[in-house]
Amino acid sequence: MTTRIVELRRGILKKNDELAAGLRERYAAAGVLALNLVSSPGTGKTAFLQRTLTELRARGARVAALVGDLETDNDAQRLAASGAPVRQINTHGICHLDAEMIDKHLEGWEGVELNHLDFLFIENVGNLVCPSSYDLGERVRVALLSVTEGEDKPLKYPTLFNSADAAVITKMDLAEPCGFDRELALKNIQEIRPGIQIFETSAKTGAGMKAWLDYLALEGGGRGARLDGETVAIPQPIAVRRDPTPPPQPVEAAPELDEVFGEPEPASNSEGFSSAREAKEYLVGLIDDEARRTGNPLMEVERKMLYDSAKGWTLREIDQVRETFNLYHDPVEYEEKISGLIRSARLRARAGKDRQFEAWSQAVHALSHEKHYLLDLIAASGETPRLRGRRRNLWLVLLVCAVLAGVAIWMGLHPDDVKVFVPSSTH
Amino acid sequence: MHELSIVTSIVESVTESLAAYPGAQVKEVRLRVGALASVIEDSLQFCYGIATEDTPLDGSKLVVKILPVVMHCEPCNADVELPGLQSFRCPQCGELVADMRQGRELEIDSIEIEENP
Repeated sequence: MTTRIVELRRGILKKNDELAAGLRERYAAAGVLALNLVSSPGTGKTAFLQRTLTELRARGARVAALVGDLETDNDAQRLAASGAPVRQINTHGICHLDAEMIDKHLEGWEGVELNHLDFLFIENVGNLVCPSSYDLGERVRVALLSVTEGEDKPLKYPTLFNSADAAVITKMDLAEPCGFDRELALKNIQEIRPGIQIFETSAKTGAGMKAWLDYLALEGGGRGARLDGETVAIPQPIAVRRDPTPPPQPVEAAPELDEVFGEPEPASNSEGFSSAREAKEYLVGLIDDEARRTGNPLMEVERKMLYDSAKGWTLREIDQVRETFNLYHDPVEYEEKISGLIRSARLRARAGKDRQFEAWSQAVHALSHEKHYLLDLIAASGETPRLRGRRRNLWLVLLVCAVLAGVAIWMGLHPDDVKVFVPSSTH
Repeated sequence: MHELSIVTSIVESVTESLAAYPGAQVKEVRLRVGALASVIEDSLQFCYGIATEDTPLDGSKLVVKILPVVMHCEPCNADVELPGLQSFRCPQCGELVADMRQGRELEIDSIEIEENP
């Protein structure tokens, strides 16, 4: 009988690692950014993900989610409310997802092809220990922590937090009642994963979502970026990535604004703006700037709602924007907020150079022969709050549209009878 | 919690490599486990007894070598060992360090077998 030592030097999870490497290649080839969301049970992964999916869709990004749980498909049902394709993975007692489960569930997923996706989110089983050992081929691992869990969570679970590429603090709306020590939590996370990007969010109020979505757009190579041409500038984490993936390219060209109502109509009788779209962008820009000045910048969906129109140029994805808006926002509160911003923006324009106020007036004028929500908001901000409560006036707007269409047709049929057409200003 | 899955993988992997040594008895399986591998040795040992039953590894001993976390410290230009997992700071200069050189290993180092000639 002889004793022999056989050197193996083999990874115990080699099988998983190989499968994960294959998945990583597939994601990269399809151009999809895969993210693995890990946290304790009850941190609010599902609520956070639901909001993320909804808002990314409003930005025109193609998203899908796989969600892992021991039992039930409750989370998948909740996530499906976002309108994104969602597939549940039941692990039946296993405390983590592994690469094989992902591989299996990507197959035969009706309506979902990696090639047609921008983002694939994987919501792991609620567990801060086991999922950290299993690579799912993701490029970004996100560790989540809620304000109710205690600031020392990263110190208690260093293995998970140290393996994360981004950290998200959820339920920030509860920070105060919970006596959450924000500084300490941020310090603890940095202590375990130096240089990590941290997002402080509330899926309920939407706070902090913009920074998170901009980060996703950056990591996703520009997909889901804002549509107003603003370059997303987020400092890169100094931490060394786990995966040898090349750093994401900065967003260079802003995605084009899409149109839904055909060619932008020329805005008659205004010198400064050649189209309604241009005028709208100018006004939205001013309102957006004003919100930034107050220290409470507009959320993506709030800003996009300003482009809403019953008639005239608007965003291609406006239906999704409305859907998101209706889910998370109170229209009365929103209109009051925007009215306030318009008032101060107009005052600023008036107090500033003459030219600025002129541009403001011209922009409003350029829009005035169409039915833009922005006009209602501007009217509501002024002395004549006649169009306050957009919903209540939907029928009125439709009626006016019908009359206008009739007039337009009549004008088309009788061009000789039309000499001068000066639209009345709503301003 | 996931130690049983890990031990199952160990059994599969070792059994596979025994094909080259027909009739050999496994005496010992030696692991290298990083301090950040999120694996608990006690749990491993407990699961090992269960998972090896009726396999060629039955009755063998599991030896786990825990490897400390080693980080590269840029300012010191040196690889430094962390005394614990509560702070990723260089123990020499106190700077935060992000470049890991060791600590996540989860591998079978070697096995000791007994062959009958």
